[in-house]
Amino acid sequence: MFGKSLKYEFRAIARKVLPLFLTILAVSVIIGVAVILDGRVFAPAESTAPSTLREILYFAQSILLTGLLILIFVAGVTVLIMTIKRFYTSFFTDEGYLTFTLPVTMNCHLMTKIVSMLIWNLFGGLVTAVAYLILLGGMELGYGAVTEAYAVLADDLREMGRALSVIWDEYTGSVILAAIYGLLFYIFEILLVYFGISIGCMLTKRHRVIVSILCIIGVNVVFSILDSILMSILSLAAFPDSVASSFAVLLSLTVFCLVKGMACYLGTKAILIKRLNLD
Amino acid sequence: MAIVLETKSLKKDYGGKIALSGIDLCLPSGKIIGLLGSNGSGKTTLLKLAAGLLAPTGGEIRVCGMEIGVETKRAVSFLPERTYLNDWMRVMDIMEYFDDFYEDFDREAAHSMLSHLGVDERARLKTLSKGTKEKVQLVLVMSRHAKLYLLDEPIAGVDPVAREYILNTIVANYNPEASVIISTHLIADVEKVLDSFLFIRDGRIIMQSDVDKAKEEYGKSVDEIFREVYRCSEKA
Repeated sequence: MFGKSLKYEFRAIARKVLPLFLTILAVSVIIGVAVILDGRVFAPAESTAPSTLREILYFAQSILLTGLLILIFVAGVTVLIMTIKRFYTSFFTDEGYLTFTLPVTMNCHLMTKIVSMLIWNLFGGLVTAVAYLILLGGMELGYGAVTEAYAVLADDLREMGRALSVIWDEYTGSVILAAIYGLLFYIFEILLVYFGISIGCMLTKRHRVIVSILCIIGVNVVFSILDSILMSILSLAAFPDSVASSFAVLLSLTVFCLVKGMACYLGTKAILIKRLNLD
Repeated sequence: MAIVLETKSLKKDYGGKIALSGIDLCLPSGKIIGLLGSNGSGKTTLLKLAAGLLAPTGGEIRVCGMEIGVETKRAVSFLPERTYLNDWMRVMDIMEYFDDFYEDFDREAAHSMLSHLGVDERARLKTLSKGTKEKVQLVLVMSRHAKLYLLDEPIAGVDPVAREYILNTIVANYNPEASVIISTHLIADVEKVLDSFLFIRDGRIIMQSDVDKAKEEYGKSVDEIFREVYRCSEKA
């Protein structure tokens, strides 16, 4: 049932987000082609192409590049809004009558939302990376600029790689922990929003958006106070060195993030099972 | 006859406001049962509890002998008063949706009913009128081979022709081994299709009987009996 739930959740978000992603790729291809055109036709010294055309091309490129950056931002915000909106409409509007009469467990419903959100974010990251690679490809084919630039940067990159390798060797645990913390923190933030919406919709049937936002802020304030208390306790503890201290802080934050995430998840689940009454 | 819905001292309150106060029921399979009462009498609450949309405040509720959960949701086909269809889907998408989630969904039956209604399966749900959406929803619900059908106010707010269509669809499509509970306050319209009925008032069952037995005993229609019993319980 999880696969089926995910399929429909994916479709519901895709209808809004996929066209944006496709537009990002299309715009980056257009810019890439414009760059190639500039490098191959206008820029060479022997070129006889009128300079006005090159100016128009530059202008179009800069407009498109600005548009691309705006599109990437809009796509990111759309993914976020759609995942939150899907949570609200699936569970708290009339659509809830369909959602909650499906032979699906509440854990399955909630995990569908979380996994879908992660996949779409990952997908968004991939699209941005592909768009970036298309632009680099255009620069390389147009001017050979990437090869040239990387030739200059290669030494710096190798140096950076060596430094990262040293950090990895010495602080493997911390690096892995930081990655886990980053992922958990992101999931926690979404669960916090879900929990706030659930409390808001449980408390009132009117002005649900405003009440939900206030609940999200309220829960966030409570968790921030708990975070501060945790940090104060940790600052009292004696560590042999700064590395151990940093690791302990990171570990504590990760564990606490996990606990907060679980609290939000279980709170949301309890409200949906025990307290929800659809209109 | 197997028992499809059983409740013991079933209670539900919404923050102090009592919706159901200790209902005891035992409904057999193979019947079309009317859950009859005025607005706010507790009909929808009882159906929502059986469909797993609400948790009881006290007492017990079982469907086909099982506590409410994923398994009972497989056995129950619920038609809410509201339109719950995903507007962004096409009719054929929502059919695929039901087909995916309900093993007992009969796609051929749904297809046949929709074509009889003249509904284009490629049409987006948001382009359909409210009445057509309600019919599509009814078709989806009645195309399942469920053990218990819960229909909440299926004929409220529709014209007489549509009422006729809805009631015919219910009678023609329900599995004789299943039971159908129709909640409504439009008693005169539904009584011809009912085998038995429950009168509910202020969260209590005030009368339960077979239609034929009650008609014989009172010499009146169910609608008239309802008015009489309601008046009596009001005085009491």
